[in-house]
Amino acid sequence: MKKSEVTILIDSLLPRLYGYAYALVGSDLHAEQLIVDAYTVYIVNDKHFLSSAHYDFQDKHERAEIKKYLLKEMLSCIYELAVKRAPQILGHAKECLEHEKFYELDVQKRAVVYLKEAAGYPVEDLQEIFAMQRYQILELLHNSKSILLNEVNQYQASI
Amino acid sequence: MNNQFDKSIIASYVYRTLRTKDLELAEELIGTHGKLHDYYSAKVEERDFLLQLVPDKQISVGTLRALKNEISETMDEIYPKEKKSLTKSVAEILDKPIFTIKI
Repeated sequence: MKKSEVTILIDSLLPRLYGYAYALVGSDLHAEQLIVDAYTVYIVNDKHFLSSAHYDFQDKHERAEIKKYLLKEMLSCIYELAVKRAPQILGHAKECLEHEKFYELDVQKRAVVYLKEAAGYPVEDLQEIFAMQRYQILELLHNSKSILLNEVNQYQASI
Repeated sequence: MNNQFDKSIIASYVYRTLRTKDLELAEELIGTHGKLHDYYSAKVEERDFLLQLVPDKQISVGTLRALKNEISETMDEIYPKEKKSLTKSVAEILDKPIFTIKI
């Protein structure tokens, strides 16, 4: 796979990756940094695969396959880095008043809720991205929803 | 049928965590039972509210441009362009005749 082909594919994924990274860290600057660092980590780790992968860039099905693969790998890398940086970025995320309740969740729950509810990924894809069993993903989703909807439920119960 | 079970099927249907084989059952429950239809509507409202709590920020043109530049620079650092040695370049040229003498 050529260097320019990887760059073209990654460039086309940037809007999606940005939305995800922003949801994890709650700051423009940190989201940008997270994407660049995750990309560096991914390229270094997968250097051998990328240079040896043979596929037809002109074939739209093959291109879609490799793009899907790259997206999942990048989502995984961004998540892993965000978890490692959680203690440093926690303060910035809490400043995000617009989505205060969401940023009360830990990084793992943010990632799962964002990808499932905002980005619309099926549970099967989340299993691959987070290397988890189906029941673990469902448990995370359930717990996150309980936290987010806690106030609404309390309000509904009081009336 | 167990009411709690039906409700959990509908909740999973709304949150798209239901397995494909149960989709038909969920649609049947919503379509044929009035109370379960109300439960479905309440769950849809709950989901819409939940969506508002999740940030979904769009990337700006400036950020996209900056990221593309950084990605390209990172790629160049990791995969530097191969610099050919002078000897190699000369050897490649001398591989073929530079000019031919016509008699």
